Parts: sequence; C-alpha cells; structure tokens
Amino acid sequence: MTISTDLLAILVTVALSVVTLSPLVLLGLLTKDWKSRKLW
Amino acid sequence: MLDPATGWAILALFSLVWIFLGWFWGRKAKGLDDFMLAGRNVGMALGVATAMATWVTSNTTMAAPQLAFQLGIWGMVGYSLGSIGLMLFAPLARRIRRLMPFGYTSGDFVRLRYGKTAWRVFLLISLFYAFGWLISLGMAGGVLIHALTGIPYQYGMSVILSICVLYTLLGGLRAVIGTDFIQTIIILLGIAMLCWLAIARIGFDDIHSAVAESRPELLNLLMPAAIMFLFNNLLFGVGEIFHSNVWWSRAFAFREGVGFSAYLTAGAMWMPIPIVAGFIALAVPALGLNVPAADMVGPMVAARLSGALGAVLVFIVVFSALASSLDSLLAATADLILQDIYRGHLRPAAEEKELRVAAKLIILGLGLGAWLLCLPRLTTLAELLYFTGAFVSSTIWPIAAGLYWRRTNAAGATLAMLLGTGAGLYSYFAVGFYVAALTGAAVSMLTVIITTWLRPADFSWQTLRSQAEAGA
Repeated sequence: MTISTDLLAILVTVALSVVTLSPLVLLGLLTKDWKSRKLW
Repeated sequence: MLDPATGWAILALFSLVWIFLGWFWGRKAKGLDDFMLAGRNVGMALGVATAMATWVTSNTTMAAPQLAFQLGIWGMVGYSLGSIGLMLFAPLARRIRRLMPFGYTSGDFVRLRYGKTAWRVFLLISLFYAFGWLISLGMAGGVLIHALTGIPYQYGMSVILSICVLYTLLGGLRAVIGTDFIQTIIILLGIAMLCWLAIARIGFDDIHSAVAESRPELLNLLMPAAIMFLFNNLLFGVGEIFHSNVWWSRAFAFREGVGFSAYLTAGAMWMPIPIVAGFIALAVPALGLNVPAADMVGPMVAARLSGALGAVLVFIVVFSALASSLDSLLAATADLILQDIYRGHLRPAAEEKELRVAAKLIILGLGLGAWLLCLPRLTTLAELLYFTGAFVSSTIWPIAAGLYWRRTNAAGATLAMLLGTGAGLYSYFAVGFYVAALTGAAVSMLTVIITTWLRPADFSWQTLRSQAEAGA
C-alpha cells in the first residue's frame, strides 16, 4: 500500500502553508506583547 | 556548494550579529535569576519562538531529510510527531510554574519530590543526554559547514561551538531567547522557500514517480520499521522534553500564565516543519543525485535545487538552526550543573556572586568538553541521537507521575528510571534504534504504576514550593 501523488501533495501543501504563515503569527504575537509591554 | 571564502564571510557576519545581540540583551542582567532565567518574565511571542527554535535543531533540518531518505513517508511523519512532546509539556509547564515559582532546574524538582538517590540517577541520565545532544549538534555543525562550503569539519565545528559559547556567556538565557526569535523566523522562511522551490522546479508528479520507480519502499504506508520508528520517535520526543532542563528552565522563565499557551502553540507550529524538510529529500531520485552519506542528503538536495544563492540561504538556515539549539542546551545544561552539581553537591553555601562566576565558567567548560568530544567524527548523527532514547524515555513516567500523583514513591521512580534505561538499551542493541525509546517508556510506565499501587506515598505539594523558595 503506497501513498498516492495526490495524498502526498495534500500532506506537503498543508504542512508548507503552516510553515509559510508561522512567521506572520510570530510577528503578530511580538507586536501584541510589545504594545502591552509584556515582551519580557 | 559555496566556496569556503563565502562560507567564512557568512559565518563572520552572523557570528558578529549573534554576539552583539548577546551582549546587548545580557547587559541588563543584574542577578542570577536574570542570567539563568531571563528574569522569569518572558512573554508569549518570545516563549513560542524559543520553544520552536530550540526544537528545530540541525537534527530537524538534517535528520528529517535523512530519515525521509531512509524510512520514507513515515520517516517524515514520524519525525513530525516530535511535536507531541511540546504539546504534552504545555500542561506540565503550567503546573511546574504553579508548584515551583522559585525553582531553577528539573533536578530541583526530582530532588525535592523523590530525594537524593532518584536525583542522582536523574542527573546521570539528564547529563548524559545533554552531552549526547551537544555532541550531535557540534558534529552536525562541522558536517554541515563542510558539506555546504568545503570548510574543514574541525574548523566549522570549532567556530559554531565558540560563537554559541560566547553569546550565551555574554547574555545568559535572555540572549538565548532573544536570538531564538530571529533564528526561528529565518529557519521558517528558509525551509518554506526551499520546499516551494522543489515543488516549482520538479513538481509532485515527477518526485512521486521517480521515488516509486527507484525507491518504492519509501512510499509504502505499511513499512514495519518505519511505523515502529513513528511511535518510538513520539516517545523519544516526549522523554527528551519532559526531563530536560532546556524545557524546564523555560517553564520557570516564562511569565505566569504563558507556559501552557506557548508550548501548545509552538508544538502546533513545529509539527509541519519535519514534513516540509523531509519532503526535500524525496527529490533525490528525481534529481538523479548520488548521496554518499545519508546525513548529507538535505544540504545536497538544497544546494542542487537552488544554486549559489540558494546555497547561501541553506547555510544561513542551518547555521540558525544549529545556533538556536546549541545556545539553549549550553545555557540549560550549565544551569543544571550549577544548581544540581556545584551548588547541590559541592558548594551548598555559595553566594550569588560566586554562582554567577561559576555559571560562566561552566558554560566555558561545557563548550570545551563538547569540542573535544566532537573532534573525532565517531558515528552518524541519527545513531548518536537515538542512543540516548533509551535513557530519556525512562524519565517520562517518573516526571509526569511526580507532578500529578502524590502517591508515586521515590523508590518506584528510581527503579523506573533504572529498569527503563536497561530495557531500552537492551532493545537498542538486540532489535534496533527504532524501538529503544518505546521499550524504555513501557518498562518505566509499568514500574511506576505497579510501585505506586503497591506502596503509595503521601507527598505534600507544598514541599516543592516552600523548599524551592528557601533555595534548599
């Protein structure tokens, strides 16, 4: 039983989307902490 | 591959940046809490980033492609289950902060919860693991720098270790956490760009058909060794995180109320990284690459895919991944040695001033020790890393049960660590690396459950708070 091209594409595309968006999430959190003076 | 001159230039540039930032953030550190635990006030953004960056090691950027190349699709997915450890640690981090608001190390907890025998067994396991990880990171540094730039292994390894030692020395945990944020952003962007490039240049169809033709077993969803690896890696990750002071020191350092959300978010955002990094290795057959050593598969594919500019990007990503874990490990292991060996065994009456000097000397000593052990390149990266799986998985149950069950007793916890490690090591040599953590965790679990049932203790949680507060 092998993984199909479509399933591999879905797995990698979902993973890649999360990885691509993560820097934006981190920068958003940083801005929020900075504004509320809760950076460290 | 980059030429050595470009490699040296990038190394010099980033070294200066990290060292400057280490000094800049470290100059505000006034007391031992500031140096060791960044003032115990780290917020959500830096908390998430430092957990992610520390867990994205060279082992993720190098071993994930290596495992995808050796174990196929389950190698990638199995590695990504390392994130479960981060997510499971989220409630523990909240409880650790609540039970021990003035604690310093994971060793503090084991000593106060289970007594001196268990503490010493735990320290042996924890320090063995820390050195195993340090050596694997130092070796990875040398191997990667050599693979990507041609700079000799010994030089690359020496440079990466020296830089991390220097900025950790200057800034303590504040420098580590601050640089981790920048390193996380670099790693995420770099890995995403490489994967997009592989898809754009080759495409899913060609990658899939080339693998199906030359290495069909890599696409097999029922590869037994790979499925064992998946569960083994999950438990290995949980064991690494539950016991290691790298994660405990962050639980102590995060602001009240941040630990749970930070670890949970970091786990969710870390999970796809090994899949993306591993997928790059599946491009080997389509690219017609001849890979001489499995642990070099990631950098080789990346360099072939993206030419000179891409090679620069890969080098920066890998350098960031290495530094983000090395610095964390240096700081947390130095804390463990300072608090549990120096203060706990040698100088119980040491004042804060003496401890600050000792902390810096310990960081220097650790760097030197790691350098000496890294000089001969003894074994492949994954083999070295998985050897420690038997040890760390045996601590999962003593730690988790110790935090939540007041009836778990000291003798049971000690026995669980010893029997779990023994069984894990036996299965490592008798069966293979992919079952060591599985066996160690299972034996440890049974030991904790049976001994708790046979001889229930009656531990008072207040002991943790009051004794840690008193610095006992």
